[in-house]
Amino acid sequence: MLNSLAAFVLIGLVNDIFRIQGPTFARTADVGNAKLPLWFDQDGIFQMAIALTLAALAYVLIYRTTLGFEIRTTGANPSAARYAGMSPRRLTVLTLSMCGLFAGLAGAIEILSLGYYPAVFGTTIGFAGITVALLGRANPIGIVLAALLLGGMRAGAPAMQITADIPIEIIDLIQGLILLFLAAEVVIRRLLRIRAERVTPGELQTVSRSYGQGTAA
Amino acid sequence: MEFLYDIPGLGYVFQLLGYLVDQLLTTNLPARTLFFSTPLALGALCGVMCERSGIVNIGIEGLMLTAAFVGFMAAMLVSEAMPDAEPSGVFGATPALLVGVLAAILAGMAVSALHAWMSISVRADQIITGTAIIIIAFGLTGYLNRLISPSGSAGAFKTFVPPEWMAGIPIIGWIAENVLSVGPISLSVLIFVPILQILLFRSRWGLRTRAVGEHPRAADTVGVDVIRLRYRNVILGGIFAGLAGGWLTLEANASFQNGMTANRGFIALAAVIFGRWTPLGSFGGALLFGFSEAIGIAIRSDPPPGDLGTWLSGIQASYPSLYNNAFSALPYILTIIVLAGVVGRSIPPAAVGRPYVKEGAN
Repeated sequence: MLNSLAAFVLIGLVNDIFRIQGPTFARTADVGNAKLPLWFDQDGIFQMAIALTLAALAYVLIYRTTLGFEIRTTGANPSAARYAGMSPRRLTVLTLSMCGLFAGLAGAIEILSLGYYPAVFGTTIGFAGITVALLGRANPIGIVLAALLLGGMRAGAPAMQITADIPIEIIDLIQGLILLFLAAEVVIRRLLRIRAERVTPGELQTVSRSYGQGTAA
Repeated sequence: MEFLYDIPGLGYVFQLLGYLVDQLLTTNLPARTLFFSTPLALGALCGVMCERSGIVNIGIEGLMLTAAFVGFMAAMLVSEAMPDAEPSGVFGATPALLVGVLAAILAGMAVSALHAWMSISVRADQIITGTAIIIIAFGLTGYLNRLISPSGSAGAFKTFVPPEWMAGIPIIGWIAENVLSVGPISLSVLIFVPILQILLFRSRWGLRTRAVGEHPRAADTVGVDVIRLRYRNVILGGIFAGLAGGWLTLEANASFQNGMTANRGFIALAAVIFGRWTPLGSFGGALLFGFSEAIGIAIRSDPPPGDLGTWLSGIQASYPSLYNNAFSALPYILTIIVLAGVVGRSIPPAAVGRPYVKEGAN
């Protein structure tokens, strides 16, 4: 919902207020010296350095600090967290704000790498992020690996479309299937006769447990 | 009444109200409202069917998109096979369009069956499954659409044109001309909503559905087959999502574009919450969103007269793109406002989102 709203507002803003004359399509002026530097003459090295640093920070935050412990407890069992004196409501607001921090940074990196803001800036990076988070099992280290997998597919897709005539949308298809198989983990294990881990996937279950149950007051 | 228009500031509000009443009574704004709320209402009916029996179906968007694509392709293939088929007098229906609607419904049911299997038998997380279905639907339809790049089209259903004898009757004539002048899928909503409302609250099936959604264990104890009922409801719910998809490619448009559902599946979910999980209430929600879409178009194409119109066209002249996009964003803004505050705390069926495991089974 907010996706469409943001897109509509931004298209309007770029077209009416921030548009520069010259290019054939609507875009803003260049960001100038705010453009991200090219390390080792390679696009993406600097951006990856930022991402890796933040992943390390997130790991420390979640697994090595009191706040991280409180966040994990709230996610696993809000009632127990409240009983132990934590405030699930405050933690939810806090984690969502931090989530906004990371998402905002992702957008900023995209635009500062490009150097300007095009009026129609459609990306499916956000949806891919959901797959990455689940594939990485909500763990910063796993997320780095999952992001490399999906990022690699995304980087290779245009070349595949040009040389082999395979539509780029197949990336979304594969992503969705990955997500589906992740959700169906139990069945896959049974089919492939892999012995189930002792721990059932608790992290996956929490998502819908919170659905519609209101915030723990 | 005219003096109300001249009150400073408040006058704009009265001018807007006067414009709305005028549009509602003299133009086909009611029909366009019904038209735009159709996919939302159908999607909401799918949501009500699923959630009342305890299954979260966040993937309505994916069901709609798949159905839209399959319906369009089926209609196109049939119309190529029999190009001479004469459109019938009612709704301009051709065999191709009818096959398309049928295919859309079947596609909706098929994807819904996948969701049912994942959530009921596999006991996977229903939100993740729903999200996966959306992503797969976007990917698969986009992939096939680009691969096949369909060039033809089977056309679209025509709107209902009331016969002359009907248009002459005072009130019925107005209703026929200004409310019912829509295509067959839009009209079907007016039939489905009351039927489902009555079935859900006045029939044995409805009682059982609600029981399974609130307390599956209790329902199981008195002999209701929870698993079977959930399967049946989710798959039957796919019919409505399939029809909504058919509306996109066989009634509203005569072509398929990638991602053409444009979040309608999510607005439908908002309508379900708005209507507190009742068919009639969520139809009301859908009408509200449909109305905001229709009025946005009406204001742009036929701007209100007087001060208000001058003020609006002033904005339009200086910020044309912002002006247009603000109206496109209207339904979404409304959805967020409605979800955030107006509805207040709404309580979903108690067992929604939780897979049912029979006692004693693994």
